[in-house]
Amino acid sequence: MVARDILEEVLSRALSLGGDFSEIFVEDRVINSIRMVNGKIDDVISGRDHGAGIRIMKGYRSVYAYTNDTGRTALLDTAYKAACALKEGEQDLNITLTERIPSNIHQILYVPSSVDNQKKATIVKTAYKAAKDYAPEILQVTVGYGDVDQKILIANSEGLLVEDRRVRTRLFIQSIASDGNENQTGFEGPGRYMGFEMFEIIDPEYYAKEASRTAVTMLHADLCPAGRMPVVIDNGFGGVIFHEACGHALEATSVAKGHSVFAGKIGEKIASEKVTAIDDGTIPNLWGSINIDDEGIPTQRKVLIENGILKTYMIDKLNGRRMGMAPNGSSRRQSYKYAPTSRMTNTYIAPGSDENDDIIASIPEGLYAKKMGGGSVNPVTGEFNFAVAEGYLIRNGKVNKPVRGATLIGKGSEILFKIDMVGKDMQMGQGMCGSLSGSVPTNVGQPMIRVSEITVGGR
Amino acid sequence: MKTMEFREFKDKLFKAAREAGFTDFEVYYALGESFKVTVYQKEIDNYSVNVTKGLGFRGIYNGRMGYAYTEILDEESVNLLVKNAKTNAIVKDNDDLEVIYRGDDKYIDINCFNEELPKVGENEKIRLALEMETMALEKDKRVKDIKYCGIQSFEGNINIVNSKGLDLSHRANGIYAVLIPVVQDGDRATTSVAFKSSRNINDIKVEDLVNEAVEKALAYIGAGVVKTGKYKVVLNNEVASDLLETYADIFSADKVQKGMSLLKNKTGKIVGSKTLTIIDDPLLENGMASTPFDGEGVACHTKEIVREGQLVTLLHNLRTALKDGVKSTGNASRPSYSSTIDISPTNFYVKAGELDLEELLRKMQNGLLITELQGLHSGANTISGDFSLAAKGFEILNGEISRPIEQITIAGNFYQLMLDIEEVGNDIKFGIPSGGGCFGSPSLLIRELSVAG
Repeated sequence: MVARDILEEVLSRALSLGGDFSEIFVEDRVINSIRMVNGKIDDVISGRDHGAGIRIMKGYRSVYAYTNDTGRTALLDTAYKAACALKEGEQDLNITLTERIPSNIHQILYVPSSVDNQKKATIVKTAYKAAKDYAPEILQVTVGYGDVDQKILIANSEGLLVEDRRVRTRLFIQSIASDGNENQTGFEGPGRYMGFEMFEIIDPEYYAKEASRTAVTMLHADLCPAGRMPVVIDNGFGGVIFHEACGHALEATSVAKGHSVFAGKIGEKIASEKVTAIDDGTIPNLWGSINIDDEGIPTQRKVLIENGILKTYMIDKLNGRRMGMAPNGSSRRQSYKYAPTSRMTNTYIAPGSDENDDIIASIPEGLYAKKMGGGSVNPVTGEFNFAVAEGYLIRNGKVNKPVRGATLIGKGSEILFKIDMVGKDMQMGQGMCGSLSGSVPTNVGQPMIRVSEITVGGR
Repeated sequence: MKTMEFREFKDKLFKAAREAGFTDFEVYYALGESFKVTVYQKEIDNYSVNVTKGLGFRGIYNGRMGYAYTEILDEESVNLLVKNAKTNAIVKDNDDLEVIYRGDDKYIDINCFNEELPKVGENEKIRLALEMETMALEKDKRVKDIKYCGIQSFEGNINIVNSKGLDLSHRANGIYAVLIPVVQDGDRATTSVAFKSSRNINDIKVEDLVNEAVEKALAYIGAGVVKTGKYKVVLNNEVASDLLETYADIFSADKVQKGMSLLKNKTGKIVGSKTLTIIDDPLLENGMASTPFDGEGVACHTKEIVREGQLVTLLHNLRTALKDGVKSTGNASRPSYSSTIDISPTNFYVKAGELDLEELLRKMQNGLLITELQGLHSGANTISGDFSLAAKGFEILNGEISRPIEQITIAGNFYQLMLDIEEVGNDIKFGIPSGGGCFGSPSLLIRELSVAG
């Protein structure tokens, strides 16, 4: 996207006033999005994002600048502007880049730009019809389709030069069920690191009906009672509990400055022995996967917690310096407009040995969270919260009536010890994770788990 | 890209659009510059200087509006924009009429650009950030660290030019300061946030921010829980404005027309208590979301959305107004060149009442004062109105603060909450503006909410 000699020139200009590391990230991204409401295609937009971000480090300090103009003059200007922020004396460096070709673990069959928008619209219409026809109570359905084709180039003053191309496709279905006075919603959002071939493995009708089923079930649900109780969280998007409650606190972004309850605890027991948790960006074609991270390092499979013992963190270059640890392919950013930092990819709790039936049967009175909504966490205090999208009461070891409006809150360090049963069937769900370096696609996952006690916010 | 180059690009694009068969078309061009510095342990931690531009094109082809955008203004982009917008217009099958606007006779001139702000050097902003960190650490020995301490500034310019002769531009700038200290209480840590946004650097008073942030964090030390049950609640001004922001979409005519808001057929009806008046004021002096015209070029005006509990109007753009047979309220939003036309408020706030926070608490006598909410993006459902949110605050006994509380949730329904507002305070405060407007509220006394502890 930018010639090698220009990259070399830009990287040395960036270091001309004294930095010890410089990096350039060039991006060219094409997006398409289609939205259908009320049975009509309502919103369609295509666009092209293009720009470059230049980063300079000096010790623990970091300077970032970006521009839409990737011509030589603009890049040199941007590099100089960033360098001026350091002003640590002058140096004249010659940087030589060595091109590296990353191994592509994520095969793409149909690049989105080569697929007609009409074909994409057909998928949207199919999903819409299945969701709308599910029940007479379905008042409104919104179906969204989006694809992204992101080409990136990363070069740095250590000589790295690498390019990659990331193609992702996602479908969203939101169903609203109504009885005239009240509205309830159901949501599904399957996505993959794939092109249009995603629809060979993802059945839009299945997910559409699921969204409507949740909406209708919640319309006929009572309000969830409030209080502390045992909770069973189902597999798939249920993994958001680990993502929020613990995942963010294991990112170097929080750990490096000691702003995490898990800082300095490698080798210590931080969870019940039932818990093994993994972050793995190498699984082919998964939503959160990458070939290389946004600093150009190949992604890895990282065992974060093994049988309750903390093994490692997710580490980026800058925070790794503060921690005295090497980066492990965990650096991500939304776009050239963000400096990268440590983030999750596909993060999940590994399968355990308990049977689902036994987990439910073990609870005299509690909550079964079949589907989770989103959540958030304050890594400093470990306080997390997340919404239950579809919940049921458990009475005498059996799943009883549906309940709505539940939120689970707690502290990450405490909940990890309270996960006392872990099922066998691990599934993943797709999400967008927002943090310092913007919004990035991540998978969350787990088998069914039991949390012995948690605060449930209901009415 | 200089303005002349934008004009040249626009001319080429318009020529290509006409040749491709578009009947009406428009460009929305945005140029922006921003600066951010954060400090950590007396040194610059992160520093960024950014320049961006982008251009959104939309045009009517066969009666339907197609959209496309680009961040590169080259020859190839002209063709790509026209081709993509055309394909997108063809795919669309919504029959709602969308129009390119001719413009209004008069636009109220409001100044959103402080000429003095660009003269403030980066060194001055760095100095402010460093001073803020040092003062926060020295303020109290229980302040163990600073999680975030930063100053940001921005300036932006937008142009809307269309084939019907509309040619508008608007520029704005601003500066923000944000401080998040970490207070240690035994083995527990507590954080709090203090922020200030303005167009005048002299409004960034470091000492005030430090006092506010540190006092807030210290007040939570020793926090406990309360028993699960129903409580009278005062939502402080920050919490109330966060909730208003989360549920602002229910006032969008687009959401109402699509069945995503329960305010359908409610215009003219009672939706809130007598004490509730909500205003959308795009012309607010020093408002961080102030603007003379909206995303479609319609002139903006100040209006009451809810007057003493009665829903006066929904927020409209041209399309929803045409559908409902009313005039646009000038709330078409275009948060970015990469977005299509939607609806959003501008400076949107609950009108202040007469009691200060202490008087509200005395009036409540026993209940909870909520000062922090978490999980608004997930635990608040804008379609059902239901919310269940992690919260922090204080227990109030006999009208006075008794002790801090944490690890609780508050749950209710926003539609019901509007009806349950018993008293509105006088301490109006605006939050940090986002692409969707800038929201403000005084503290509110609520009849009852469910609390889990």
